[in-house]
Amino acid sequence: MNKIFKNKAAFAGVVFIAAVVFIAVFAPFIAPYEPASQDLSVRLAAPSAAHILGTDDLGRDVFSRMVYGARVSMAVGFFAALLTVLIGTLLGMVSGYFGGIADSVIMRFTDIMLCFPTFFLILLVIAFFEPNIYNVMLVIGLTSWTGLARIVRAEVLSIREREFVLASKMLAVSKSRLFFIHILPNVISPIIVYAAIGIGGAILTESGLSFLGLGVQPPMSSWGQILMQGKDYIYAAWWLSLFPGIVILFTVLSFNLIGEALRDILDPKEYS
Amino acid sequence: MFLEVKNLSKTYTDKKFFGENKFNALDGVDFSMKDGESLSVIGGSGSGKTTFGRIISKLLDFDGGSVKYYGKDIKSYNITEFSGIVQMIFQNPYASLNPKLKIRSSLLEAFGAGAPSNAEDIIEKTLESAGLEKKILDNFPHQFSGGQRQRIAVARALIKKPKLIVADEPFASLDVYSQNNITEIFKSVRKNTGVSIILITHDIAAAIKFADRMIIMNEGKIIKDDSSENVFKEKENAYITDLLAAMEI
Ligand SMILES: Nc1ncnc2c1ncn2[C@@H]1O[C@H](COP(=O)(O)OP(=O)(O)O)[C@@H](O)[C@H]1O
Ligand SMILES: [Mg+2]
Repeated sequence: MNKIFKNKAAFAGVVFIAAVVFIAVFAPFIAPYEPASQDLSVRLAAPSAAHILGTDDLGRDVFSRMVYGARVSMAVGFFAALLTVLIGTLLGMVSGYFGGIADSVIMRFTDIMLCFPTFFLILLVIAFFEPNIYNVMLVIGLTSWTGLARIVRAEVLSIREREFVLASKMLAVSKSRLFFIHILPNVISPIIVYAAIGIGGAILTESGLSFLGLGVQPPMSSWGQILMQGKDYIYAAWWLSLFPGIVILFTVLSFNLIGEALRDILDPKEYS
Repeated sequence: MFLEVKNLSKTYTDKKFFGENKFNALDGVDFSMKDGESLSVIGGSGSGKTTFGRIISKLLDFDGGSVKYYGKDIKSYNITEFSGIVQMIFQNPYASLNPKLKIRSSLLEAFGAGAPSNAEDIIEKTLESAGLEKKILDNFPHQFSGGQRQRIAVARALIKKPKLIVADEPFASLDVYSQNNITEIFKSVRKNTGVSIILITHDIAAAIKFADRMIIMNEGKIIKDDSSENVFKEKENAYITDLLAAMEI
């Protein structure tokens, strides 16, 4: 943990994410306006003291909408990544540990999943089901685990041949202990790294879906959705696009930086 | 007979893009040893020593021949039974202990699901015979040197009170001091407990120091099984003379 503070970029990432999480949690206390309340007398108002990030075409406060949008983005990011990690880890572990038919079936299925461009797969699913925050989380989680499953499988294949696993086998240690005490804790590092980067990826995907009108639906707000509204007024009201764009950029960047730093911290000296 | 190996063969198959590569790592190995007997196995790298050690430790399947302990086929032992007969020490001490577990947890594993109430006492005594102190129990593997870790691995194996310990190049990655240290530990353990030890090594000096009986392997075959004294008298076998020369004896 100490090292994450030595890495300045990652530290900045942690601070930024902590701030976004704080804002998301305490949204009602931070947002000066109701996110959905319209005031048609101040449509498309530029940033001012009353509306620090301006207003949109319905006179809603952009700052307040973004504060509530942080809830959507964080929730989608965390739960989609959680689902990704659960599925990817489980399939990767089973595939690597048991091998044989289970391995063949899981890996061929993974290959098939990898053949579809993920984003279009998501579009397809969302087009059939109702586009709401739960479906968005679910579909991102269900389509993003392939890379992790492969990483975990490869790790398990290498760890299960490690001498300490062989030694425990010779001591007649139970299979469940081998699995949960010896193998799982030693493949956890790449999973954590993948999760951190996965959260950023999910937020980006959600923004993309919202931008296409397939993400969370009004009156709920999300960063991608504000961005989408802004595109129609890009010349008249630049603030509608700029601020959500910047926040998405920094959030995803922060998660990637944290992920990279975790990779450096967790990987070396594991076996020395 | 304690251990009897007959006509043992092992073929590794490597899948290639087109077809596969077959390699005979062991080719008709005959070998036997009595209860309490110890010996060293030497041979150049790739001669099949590790393959042999892992097969008789039930860590690896084989393709032909038979391996019997006390006249019973190795395949018909269950792992719990077998864990009381053979234990193995590996070449790489840095990977021999789970990095996430304290030494105590790693050692307690040797007792299985229900550790007896005197487990701590047994562990303490075993640590002592491996030249270690009790206070190491609360530390993690990365806090120890390679030599210390190898001794912890020896202690772990001893807790099972096996009849045979197969040590596969246990000091190949250690300094000379640790090498001697572990050889001495093996010798005293052998004397005190009567356990058999097979020391696999490419270090002929260590092999001589360790045991009278010496087995020389080359290209998957045992080409010599004799006392170390007689091995040195061997002049007609070119491989052995080369081996001796290469090892600067
Ligand atoms: N898993 C494996 N797959 C394919 N070939 C192997 C494998 N393990 C060992 N070999 C080959 O078998 C031969 C004997 O290996 P090994 O028993 O490790 O020899 P040694 O321990 O004497 O160096 C070597 O040529 C090695 O390349
Ligand atoms: Mg070897």
